[in-house]
Amino acid sequence: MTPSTTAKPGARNISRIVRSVGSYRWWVTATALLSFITLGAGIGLLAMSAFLISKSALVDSTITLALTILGVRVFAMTRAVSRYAERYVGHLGTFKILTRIRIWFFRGMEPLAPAVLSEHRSGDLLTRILSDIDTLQDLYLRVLVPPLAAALAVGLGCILLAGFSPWLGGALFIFVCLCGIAIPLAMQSLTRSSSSSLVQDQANLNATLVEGITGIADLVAFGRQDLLQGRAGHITAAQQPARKQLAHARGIAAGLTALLVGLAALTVLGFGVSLLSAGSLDGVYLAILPLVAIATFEAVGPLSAAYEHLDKSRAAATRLVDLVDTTPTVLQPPQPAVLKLEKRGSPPRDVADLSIANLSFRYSQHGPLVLKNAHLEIPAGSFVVVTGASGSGKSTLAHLLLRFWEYSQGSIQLSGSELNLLDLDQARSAVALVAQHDHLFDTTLRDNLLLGDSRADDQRLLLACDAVCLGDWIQGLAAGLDERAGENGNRLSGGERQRLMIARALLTEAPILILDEATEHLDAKMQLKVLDGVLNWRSGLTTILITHESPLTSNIDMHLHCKDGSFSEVRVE
Amino acid sequence: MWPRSLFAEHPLVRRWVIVSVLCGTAAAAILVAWTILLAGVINDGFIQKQSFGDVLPLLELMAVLLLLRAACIWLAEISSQRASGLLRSQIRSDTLAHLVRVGPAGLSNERTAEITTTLGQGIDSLDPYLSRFLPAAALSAIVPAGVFVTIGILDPWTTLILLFTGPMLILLLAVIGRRTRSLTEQRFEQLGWLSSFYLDMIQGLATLKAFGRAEEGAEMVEQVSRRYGEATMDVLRTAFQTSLMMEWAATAATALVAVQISFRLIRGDLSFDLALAVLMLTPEFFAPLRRLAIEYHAGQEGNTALERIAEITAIPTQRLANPSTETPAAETPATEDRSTSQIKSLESGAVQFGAVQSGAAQFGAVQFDSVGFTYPEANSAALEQVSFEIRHGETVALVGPSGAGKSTLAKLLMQFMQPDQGQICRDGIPIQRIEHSEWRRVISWVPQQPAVFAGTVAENIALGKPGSSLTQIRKAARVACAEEFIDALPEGFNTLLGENGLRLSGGQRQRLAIARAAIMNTPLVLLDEFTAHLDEETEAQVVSAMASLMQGRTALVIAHRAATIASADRIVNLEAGHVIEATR
Repeated sequence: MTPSTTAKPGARNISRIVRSVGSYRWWVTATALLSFITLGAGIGLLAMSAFLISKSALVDSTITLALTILGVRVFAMTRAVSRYAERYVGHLGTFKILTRIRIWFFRGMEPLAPAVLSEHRSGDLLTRILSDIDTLQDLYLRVLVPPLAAALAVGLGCILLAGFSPWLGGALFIFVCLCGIAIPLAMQSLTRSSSSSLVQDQANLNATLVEGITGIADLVAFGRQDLLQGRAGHITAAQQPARKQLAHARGIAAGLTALLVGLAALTVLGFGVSLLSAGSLDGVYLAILPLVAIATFEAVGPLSAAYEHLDKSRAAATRLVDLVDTTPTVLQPPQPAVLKLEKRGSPPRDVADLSIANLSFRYSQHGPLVLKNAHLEIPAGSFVVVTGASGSGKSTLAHLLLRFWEYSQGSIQLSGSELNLLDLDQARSAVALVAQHDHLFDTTLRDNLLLGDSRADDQRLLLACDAVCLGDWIQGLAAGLDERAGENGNRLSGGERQRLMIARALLTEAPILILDEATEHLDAKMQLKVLDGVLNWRSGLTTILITHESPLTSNIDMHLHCKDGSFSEVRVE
Repeated sequence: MWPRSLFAEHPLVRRWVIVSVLCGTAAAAILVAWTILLAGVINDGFIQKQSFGDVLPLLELMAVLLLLRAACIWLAEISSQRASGLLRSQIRSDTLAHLVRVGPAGLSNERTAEITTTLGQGIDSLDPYLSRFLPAAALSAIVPAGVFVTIGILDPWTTLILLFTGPMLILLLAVIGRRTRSLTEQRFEQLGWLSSFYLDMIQGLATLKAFGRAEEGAEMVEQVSRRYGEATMDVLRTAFQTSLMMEWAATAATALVAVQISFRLIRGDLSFDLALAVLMLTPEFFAPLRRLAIEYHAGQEGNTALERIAEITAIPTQRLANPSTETPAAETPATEDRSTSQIKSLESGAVQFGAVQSGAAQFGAVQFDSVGFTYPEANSAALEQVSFEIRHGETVALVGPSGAGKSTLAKLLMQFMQPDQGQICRDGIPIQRIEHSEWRRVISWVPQQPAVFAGTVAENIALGKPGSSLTQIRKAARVACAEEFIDALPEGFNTLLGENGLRLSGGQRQRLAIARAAIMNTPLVLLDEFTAHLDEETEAQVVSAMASLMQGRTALVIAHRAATIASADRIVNLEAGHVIEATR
């Protein structure tokens, strides 16, 4: 993933996200309208007040002013209330959008797990990407709404002035465009090099800090503490010229903006005075002119923040789209076949024969073959033990069966159906896997177990726990099944974790269950007890135990040894 | 609100902030004068019926004032930016210097994440705090007072309205302040919760998929996100209501001033130019306060960041310095001191001239003798009465559930910190008497999550021995089964790594760390075995790299894989800080 992305693709990525998440057209319009009402009421309030004062200088009774006074009050109230409504509606929509972006991203991630994600997971890349989503939540509120509202308010101000004389409206329009479009664009192009180098330096600096602090143990262990401070100091020093340039540019932009507001008011006033002398303007309106000009500029203020936010949003959108657009290794077949399984036993449960022929597999294009012409015939209901050294290919088989990786050479058949022609969900539901690195969710034990079977009641959950000798432990917990598992199950011991994951897999009643080194944290006695419980629960269904050392049970139907990517049967004495 | 202690420590920063505030005040003063002139010109045109030519000199004067004001704003902006840049770089380097003194012992894993956030985003959030909030806060005290006095001179009656609404506004601001403080905290907490929930879901995606429940995961994300959106809206609503009150008070005051003035204008108590000037000045009385309300959030974030930074600089430093200068001489018999120095010279000889085998031959054994350790803020001991031995040439597997104290033990062995009780000895000599640089030549470390630093692959391998020859680096890479993949990288050993360089996969990082340890060629190695999810092929490569590093060395392995445990010479089982059993 390279950080160098030009502006164009960034903009495309934003529109891509807007298209996937939904444009929220009505909501954006509503927020922009409310924002416009706020700005408009501000213009109205100043204009009305100025008119009131001017009129008061001419009349000698308050009665003629009643309507104007009412106008001042109405505008004052409207402004306060619409500001409130604008903020309320705006934030309400923001949360809706945040939810949609999260779901969009989650759905985009789903096909990538775990084959593509296992690479990203190792770093804290994922955490960074999550903060990108937080950046994007403001895309609508801070990038899309302000220009819309500003356009409407500027239109109002200019039309109002143009009502007195087209020249007045034109003059205001020119000043507003200079301030709202020309200055920000000019500043952006002037400071582009320094600000992008500054952003780059800042990113480098943050990366150096993160790298140095997370790696401080490595640095101390190898006696290289000097590295961190030296590098940080170097980057900070290198930032100075760009930082100064940027500060000057920002100062000039702020000064120029203030200057333009004032000049706009003066120009409009000057025009007004000449119009007055020429007799084409009633003097009572003179005060309104500069005040309307000043109030109109209020709409232009948030625009520079919008530009800034647009840049941030672009970068964030690019990173998200890059990841979501990664081609998944396993794709749903265009016309998925339907898996038909036989039901056996009482109560009747789905069973499946597994047959593997000529299966070869490598993880990367040029990597070594992890599976080589593997052959396997496992009839439904068998208990199979697979042993072999690490790297021999036994876990890879489990990954292929779960459709986490795609195979292209050879065939895997479930009761006669080729696995990679089946609907992905259906294929996965036929196989359950318990591996060492499976995830437990940071929720209750019950919720974690329900993942196996969402319809199970507590009694059934406890039965499954009993099968793996966890029943007593759960009964002994203060909160029982409501106990929390902690972040990735870190409140449980290694053994409890593993048994909970086995219980969860038992609940699925999948025709094929693979236990991949899933009992290794248990001592020999417990290992046997758990295995007995599992086999008892699954009598009639296929269970495959991948293990380092063969367990001392007698009821093994088939013992396979995996070596260099192929399986050979070991005679069971 | 005014960070006195911060400025006391950074006087230059204070100077720039003061310059910024002065320029801001000047800009406001010019605006007041300009506004009065504006009212005058309108009066000249409207009441006095003057022509454009008559008012032109005044308009020109006002344009000059605008130029002056623009200059003031420019100066205010660059000085506040200067202050912000200065403070951030000073705080960053101070904090870093402190962190280096603290070392890895004081920085547990959770803390590291928090500290990097504080140093990155936290220090960045000081920018709006210094460049926007602080000037706004200062100006909100100065400018309304100035405007109040000016209005008082022009029309004393209006000041009554301001006298009433002004304090009300400040009161509201205080209320908003208190509320937003707890609100931002609450929101922050909720956002943090939501993020970790989301991370949990994404990390568990493979598991969800395996159970065919990914779609339900998406629904959960939706539900939780929606629920938290609603909860956050509830808290935000009160914040908006408070600011509604404030907005309303300010606008109502302006309207009140307008109506009141118009009545007195009709009665002839007030001249038109004064009336208009007062009307236009009234919003300027409230503007700084409203500006402050907008920047309040930046202020809160800056304050929180400053508090967090203070917490970091308050982490006590460890005795990382050369222990030979620190060990109290009184407790140590002179004879033992001499024996230590003898050992030292032996070691350096071994490392300089010996190959792995000869180094190992002189290594001897490590004894953990009733070692106890309690973390400063912890209630219970992380390790208690831990005693076991690693004999020469042996591979000892350290096992136990997470939190049992395995990594604490590793930190003690690495001398990142010292045991509270008992001691770790090497052939009977407590290791804290061995100079740090000497100890580093005896032991090398392969962490579970090795850090990769920006630089080339070769530089990363030679981390502990800068200036190693490429031949040495290659040899170390070969030991770590890393040579092949490194040669396949775009520029081989010169490939850049780190944030802007190539990202290594988990398995590649592991092997890089093993090479890093291999080049140190120490007789003792400490390995923290990976738990990350690696594909089978990579896992096999890392396992064989670990095996070849341990070959001919004494090794302590924090073991997570069954195969490693099975192949160890001895297993030490740690549970809740105690050694439960040492088997085989």
